[in-house]
Amino acid sequence: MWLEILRCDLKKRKGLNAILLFFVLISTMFLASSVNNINLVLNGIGNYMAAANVGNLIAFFNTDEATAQMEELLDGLDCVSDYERDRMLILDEDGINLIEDGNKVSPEESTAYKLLGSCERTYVRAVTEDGEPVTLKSGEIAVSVLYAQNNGLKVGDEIKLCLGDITRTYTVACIAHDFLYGAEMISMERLLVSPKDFAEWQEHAGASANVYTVVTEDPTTVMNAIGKEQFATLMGCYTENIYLLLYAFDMVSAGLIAAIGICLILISLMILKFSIRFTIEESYREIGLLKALGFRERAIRKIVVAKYLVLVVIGAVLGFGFSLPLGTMLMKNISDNLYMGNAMSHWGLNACGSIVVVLFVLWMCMSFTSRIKKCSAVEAMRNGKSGERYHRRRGPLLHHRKKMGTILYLGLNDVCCSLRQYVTLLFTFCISFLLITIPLNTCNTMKSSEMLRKFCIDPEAAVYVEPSWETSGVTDADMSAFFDELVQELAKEGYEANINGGLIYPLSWEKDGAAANIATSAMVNMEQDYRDYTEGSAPVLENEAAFSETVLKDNGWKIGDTVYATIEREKRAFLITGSYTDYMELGKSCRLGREGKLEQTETFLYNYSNIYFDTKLSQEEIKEELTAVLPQYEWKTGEEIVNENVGSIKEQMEAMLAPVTVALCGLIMLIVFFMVQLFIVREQGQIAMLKSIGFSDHPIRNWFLARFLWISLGAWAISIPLSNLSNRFVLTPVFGIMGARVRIQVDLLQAYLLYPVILLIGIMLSVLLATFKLKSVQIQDIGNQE
Amino acid sequence: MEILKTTDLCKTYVINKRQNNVLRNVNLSINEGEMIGVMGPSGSGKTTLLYTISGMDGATAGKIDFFGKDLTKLGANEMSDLRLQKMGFIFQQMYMMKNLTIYDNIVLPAYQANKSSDRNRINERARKLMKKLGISDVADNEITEVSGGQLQRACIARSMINEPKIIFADEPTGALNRQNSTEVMEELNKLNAEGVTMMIVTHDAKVASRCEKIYYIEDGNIRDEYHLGKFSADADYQREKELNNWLMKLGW
Repeated sequence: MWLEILRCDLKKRKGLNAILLFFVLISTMFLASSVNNINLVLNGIGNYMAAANVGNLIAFFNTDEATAQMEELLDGLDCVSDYERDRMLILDEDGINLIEDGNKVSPEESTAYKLLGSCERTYVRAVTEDGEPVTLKSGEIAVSVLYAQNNGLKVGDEIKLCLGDITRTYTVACIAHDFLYGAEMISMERLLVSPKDFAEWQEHAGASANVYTVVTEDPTTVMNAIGKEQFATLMGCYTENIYLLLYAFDMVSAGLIAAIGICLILISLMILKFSIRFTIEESYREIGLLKALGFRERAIRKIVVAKYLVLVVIGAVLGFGFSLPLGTMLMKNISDNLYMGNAMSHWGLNACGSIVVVLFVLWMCMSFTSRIKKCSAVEAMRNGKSGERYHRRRGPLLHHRKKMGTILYLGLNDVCCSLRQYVTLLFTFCISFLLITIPLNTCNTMKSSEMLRKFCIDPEAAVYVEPSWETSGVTDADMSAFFDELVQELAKEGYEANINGGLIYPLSWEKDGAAANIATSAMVNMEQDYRDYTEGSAPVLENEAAFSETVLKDNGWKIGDTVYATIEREKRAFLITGSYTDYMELGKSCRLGREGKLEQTETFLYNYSNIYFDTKLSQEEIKEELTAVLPQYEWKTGEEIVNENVGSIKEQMEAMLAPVTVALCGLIMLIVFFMVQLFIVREQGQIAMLKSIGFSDHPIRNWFLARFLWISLGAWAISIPLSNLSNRFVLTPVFGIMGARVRIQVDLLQAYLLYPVILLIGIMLSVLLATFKLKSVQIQDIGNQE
Repeated sequence: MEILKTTDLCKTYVINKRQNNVLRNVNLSINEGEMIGVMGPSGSGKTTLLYTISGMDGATAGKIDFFGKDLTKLGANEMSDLRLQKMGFIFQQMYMMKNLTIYDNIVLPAYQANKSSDRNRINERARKLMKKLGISDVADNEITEVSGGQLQRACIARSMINEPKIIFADEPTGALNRQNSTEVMEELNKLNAEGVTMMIVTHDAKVASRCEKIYYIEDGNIRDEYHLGKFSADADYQREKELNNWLMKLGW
């Protein structure tokens, strides 16, 4: 019997059931793919570290000098369970030539150290797309995804390497995910060849670098022990906590995919709840009739649940099928630098997501049908209403709205009277507005002057220059001489310029017996400190220093403390005057007072130099002008410097913005389209009644438009404070991962007007399209009124 | 003055290639101020006639002349305007907007048809109509909070709000008890006495006896018509008896 009723229902309510099926399908699709993607993103860096086998600590030396001392130290530490020395050759500027159409081309300058190593490694190994360690034959070479992107390399291209007297040409056999050397934040890149080829290179030893990978349960102890040794050639020492930061900017896009996933899950559940409630309420009258005819609760529930089970199983199976390619498609938007694993290989999660949808729908059915139990047959036929009212009427009264048009009022009244029903849409629209503002604000922040400050560059400068020396071994005197020469050359060209710039020294700092290697910057020629300080004041005198908040926190130092640095074998005392947050050395750095000079000490890094002169031209225009007259210098704009530091993520985010907007707009339009259809099916009695009393299709269409307009405007209003909250609680921590607190930049016009208006237009267009169905509602359908 | 006239009006439904001629060459006329009743057995085409004449459903053939305009030639929007401004409708079931109060349901068509500056005048008229129909005290109630009779009277008030030239009523008392039915018909008679033309489809002889002229429809044809003359409350019983005799002759 109930099978017959079910068959008739599925057949008769084709429209309603088709819409419900569609919603189940897209909900499953989004939920299943999002669960999988969130899992991949959350475990992304962990998976990558595991595949690359990166150990717990890495120490980088730029010569062979300290290897014996280092190995003696590591052998003597009980907490070290294993370590590996990876000896690599340092390639000089002319050491690498890419071959394009038979001609040699120098690669793009991107990092300080270019290393050549063997692919056969236990630790810090490069992995393929499938997460397998790279293996190479003689004559083959592997490069990181980042290197390939920077130089436009693809598999099959040729690279010519020169070191000393040897020259060899290699074919690119693999574009690998290289965890340490493929990260934008690391100023090293490595090329990998087969062990046999590398052994041949080693015989003709050139300058070499040694990277120690240490496996230990206590990286802090090892780090402190290394710090105490005060290795002169130690260029960096990082624990696994720092590894997590290497891909922080790449994780912005991954985080966005996860955020989209969470939003899609919420949207899916809300849509499901809405459509099930809507359709079950629609059949209340029939349920009441069955109840009046003497059907038992269980039999009625069986009919309702069976119908939804049929629909949800079909929808979930189809949704599961579509979720796999959708998940892969979404994951493709994540930075190529990251090894994230394959969404297809975790299909079990998609299956779990689909089962969740089935269970959710059944739970909703049971929950809504339980309301029938509580009301009488007559009340069920009256859609759960008893005819009495014990609450104040919600919504405005038409005759109290003197100025508002009838149609606008009807829309507003419907929303107010059935607020719970429209909350789903309100929520969906809010999330959509938010999902657009998050990448938008990220992009705007990344191209703002705020980012330049965080990279210790003065945004007020006219232009910037990159000193063209070897990476290390520069002193304060070299820098001053370079500035003097450049000032003279600029003066010859008619520019009265001032120049300042920073040098970064690897200094060992200590207080109360605890020591730490901290990258310390000293400015040359700086008259006034342009950098931001969060607490205290900028260091000025020779014996003053400011530390990043992370350093102060890690070492338990505070403003006013005296700390000691070993400079040129002399222990000097410094007073901590202030703290700051910036991106220098992953947020762990020190700034010396502007009068502080380390005359004999050699740098290991230097910053871009700020050039100041009076001009009304933009940095881009000045760069062009200076490149024309002084082409021997590497002129840079602020935007270029940020791009170099944050890598391709800014472009990726900008590139994602339009597709995300279009995809969201499309998704919302689709949801709105079917929701309007659902409303029309359910309200055809009222529509017919309005038609009977003289309302043409036009005002009825406007009635639907008005409802969605009010909901959209409501969502718009709610999303503005929500967007501010998301800036504070989502974006600020994301930018803060790298150690700097960045003020999130909001373009009010774009974030709160332009993009919401685009969504609004999409929503209205969708309603307009869906309301073409109104034509099919005839006055004779008046009997379908609830 | 003749305000509505049908000429050879036909309505045919084709379902699964089977043709059902519901109205067959119906010719009738309605004069201004008349109260017309349409009776007939179930399935005879009464409601279809009402819907077709009022333009709510299209005619298959024939002509419907309403104030000199052929309704069969009008477009959907023109027809809507005509229904909004010159016609009023009362249905057997009391269809109303579920999220509006009784008062707002009544003024809705008038607000839609007129400028917002006319709202004071409309409100005044709505209040008068509600008072006349005895539903002033339920003005702010929701439609689920009033009795069937009150709701039907609210429907009558809504149909009257735009001062239509004609009111079409389909079984206006069909869902009401005897007392409510009498009250509603009394109100319709009062409105008719004020000059409002009415066409009422009913199967209730008591309701039809309040009409001035009754058409008897059978198998889509007007088989006969009967003139009872203007309604008078004093001759209520006599009219009903007279009508019943006529109906009996027709095989009712």
